[in-house]
Amino acid sequence: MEINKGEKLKNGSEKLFDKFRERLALNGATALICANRSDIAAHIADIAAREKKDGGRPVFHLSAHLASSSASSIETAIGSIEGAYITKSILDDNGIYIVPASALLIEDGALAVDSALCAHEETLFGDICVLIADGAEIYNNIIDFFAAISAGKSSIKAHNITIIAGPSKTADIEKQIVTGMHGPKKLYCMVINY
Amino acid sequence: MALFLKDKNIININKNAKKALADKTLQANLKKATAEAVFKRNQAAAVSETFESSRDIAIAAREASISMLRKLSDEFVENCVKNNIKCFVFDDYESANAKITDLIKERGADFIVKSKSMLTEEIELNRHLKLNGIEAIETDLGEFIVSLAGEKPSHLTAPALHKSRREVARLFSEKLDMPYSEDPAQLSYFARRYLRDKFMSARVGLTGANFAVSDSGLIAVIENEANARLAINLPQTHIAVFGVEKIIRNLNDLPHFLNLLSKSATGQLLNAYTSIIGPPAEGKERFFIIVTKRRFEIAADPVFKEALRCIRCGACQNICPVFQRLSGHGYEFCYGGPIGTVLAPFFIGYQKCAELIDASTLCGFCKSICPMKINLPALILQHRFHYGADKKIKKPLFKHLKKLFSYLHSLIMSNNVLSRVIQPFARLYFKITAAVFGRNYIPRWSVFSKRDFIGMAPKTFMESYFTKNKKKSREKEGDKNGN
Ligand code: SF4
Repeated sequence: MEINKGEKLKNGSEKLFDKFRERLALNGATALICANRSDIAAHIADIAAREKKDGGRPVFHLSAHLASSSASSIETAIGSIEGAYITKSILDDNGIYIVPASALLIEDGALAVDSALCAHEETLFGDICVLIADGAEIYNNIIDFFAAISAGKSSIKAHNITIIAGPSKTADIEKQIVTGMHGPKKLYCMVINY
Repeated sequence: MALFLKDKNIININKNAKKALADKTLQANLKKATAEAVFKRNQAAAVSETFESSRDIAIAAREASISMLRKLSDEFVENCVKNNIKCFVFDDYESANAKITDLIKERGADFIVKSKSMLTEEIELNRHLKLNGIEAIETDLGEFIVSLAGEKPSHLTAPALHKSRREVARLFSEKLDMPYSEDPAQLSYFARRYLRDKFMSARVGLTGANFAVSDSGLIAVIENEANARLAINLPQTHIAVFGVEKIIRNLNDLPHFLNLLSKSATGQLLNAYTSIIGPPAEGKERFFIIVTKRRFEIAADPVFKEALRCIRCGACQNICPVFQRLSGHGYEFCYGGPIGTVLAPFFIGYQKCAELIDASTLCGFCKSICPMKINLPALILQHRFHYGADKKIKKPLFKHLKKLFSYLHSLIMSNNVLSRVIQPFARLYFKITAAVFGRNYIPRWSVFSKRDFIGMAPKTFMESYFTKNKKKSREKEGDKNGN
């Protein structure tokens, strides 16, 4: 499927999303689509339930740069989870970090994060990283993405790019994959598509 | 035999191979790890829509950058200055090491957090830092394991590929007091906790760079663990050390290399983290140390410049039948495997590589898997030609004997009379060696039991042909007489 460089994900882009989900899964991460506010609430509750270990309270860290529409939905969703709370500390090595993704790279199953909108620590600390693609640019692949950047057609500056394709992982001991080596153990991408 | 191998200045591949082959654990680790790496690489390449096209584009881009490496290097440095990054270019290892040491000392640090960098292996940075009272803490799990064991990495992208979980468990429990566990997850999380404290208190973080982009003064660092991102972003000072050949022209070229490296190195569509590093954040500082040693010379060589295309993915190591048994350590050079064999003579000299350049079957697997389509067997062969032809290279005794043997062999085989005269003696020789050694022994040839000389047929083809024909004609004659 051909995509215009930098095009936003629109309704009816199911095939595109399916490919992205399939490729992200190959990279060891999960893509979730949110067609409305209740989808956001359901996914956040589900992630919180997975995180809630030994009856502990799920801790969330919300990036200051989340798109206001999704931020308010996420805050409401967290508010309705029993015992959940939001922290401002970004060096906390626990919890769920929710940060904005600025571009989706479909064939690579990857997301680009703009460090102008998200401190590096926010995608490095915590057990779980949730990337919110709300109004994110969308590209076929990393090649188109960099072409758009060099042509000045993307909103992201080259030196601010971190491309994330899966959770932190290692296979240094007998090639067995262990996630969460130095960064998050799990990576989710919630694509806001409404 | 031992007499021929005694030259200490030569990388002793035969001895290393014997040692490696006798180590059953090592053989099992290597077999499993390399087979899996090749399988994953093939899977990722098959899924990708752009892998093959990126190969051709990246090769053309690299060819272009090699042809103007000096110009690109100057342009890169200029653009780094614009990005508030301080760049230093060194042609020798000593000056590069000294500069890095000074930068660390000036910041009052007695340790650094370091992510994987093959160039720091090449310049032996850790040893230099240690001599100056600075501890280099390796934070990539594989590098952390080998540094604890006091070893060197054995693979370009999987430094602890030669170690089993049992060996790592023993190491962690002895050196770090970790309760004994052979579970890779528990071992990894223990290392994570241990290293996290170091990251939080480090003043200086040091990384390599996978690519450097000339027109924008940026570098790209790819990894899976996130240790490089921590080393880049947490400490006040970040130092990146890399070879000048990592410089490419522009951002349009970059994704093709990233596309190839992730798939060829670890069999992933993309690595977990690709960081584009430019101007330092406010209140922080960044230094790039660029090493040029021998690179411009190689770039100017019409044949060997091809070797500079290498993106250090390690795929040629994974597929090489020699590497699969010898492991990286057997090469005694920081870059092992086929690409190591091609680079070694430039960095440590032909004399030291007398055996190394022979340690290839020239099977061509490496050429076929190399994302940059480097004709590694042809380059190894070129080294052999050069080694043989260059009279200035002092050759060990076994090379002279080999040459003499080849000369005599061709002389005898091309001369009908001589070959007929020698045959009975040769048969007798093999009869004796078979009785004494239990096999057709030829010095040097028979080091590896699997490569025994197959021996000589009891009769030559012509002898058997004429014997058969004689027999037939006698039978015919008999038939006639019978009639
Ligand atoms: S020579 Fe080719 S296969 Fe080997 S490490 Fe370099 S790029 Fe990879």
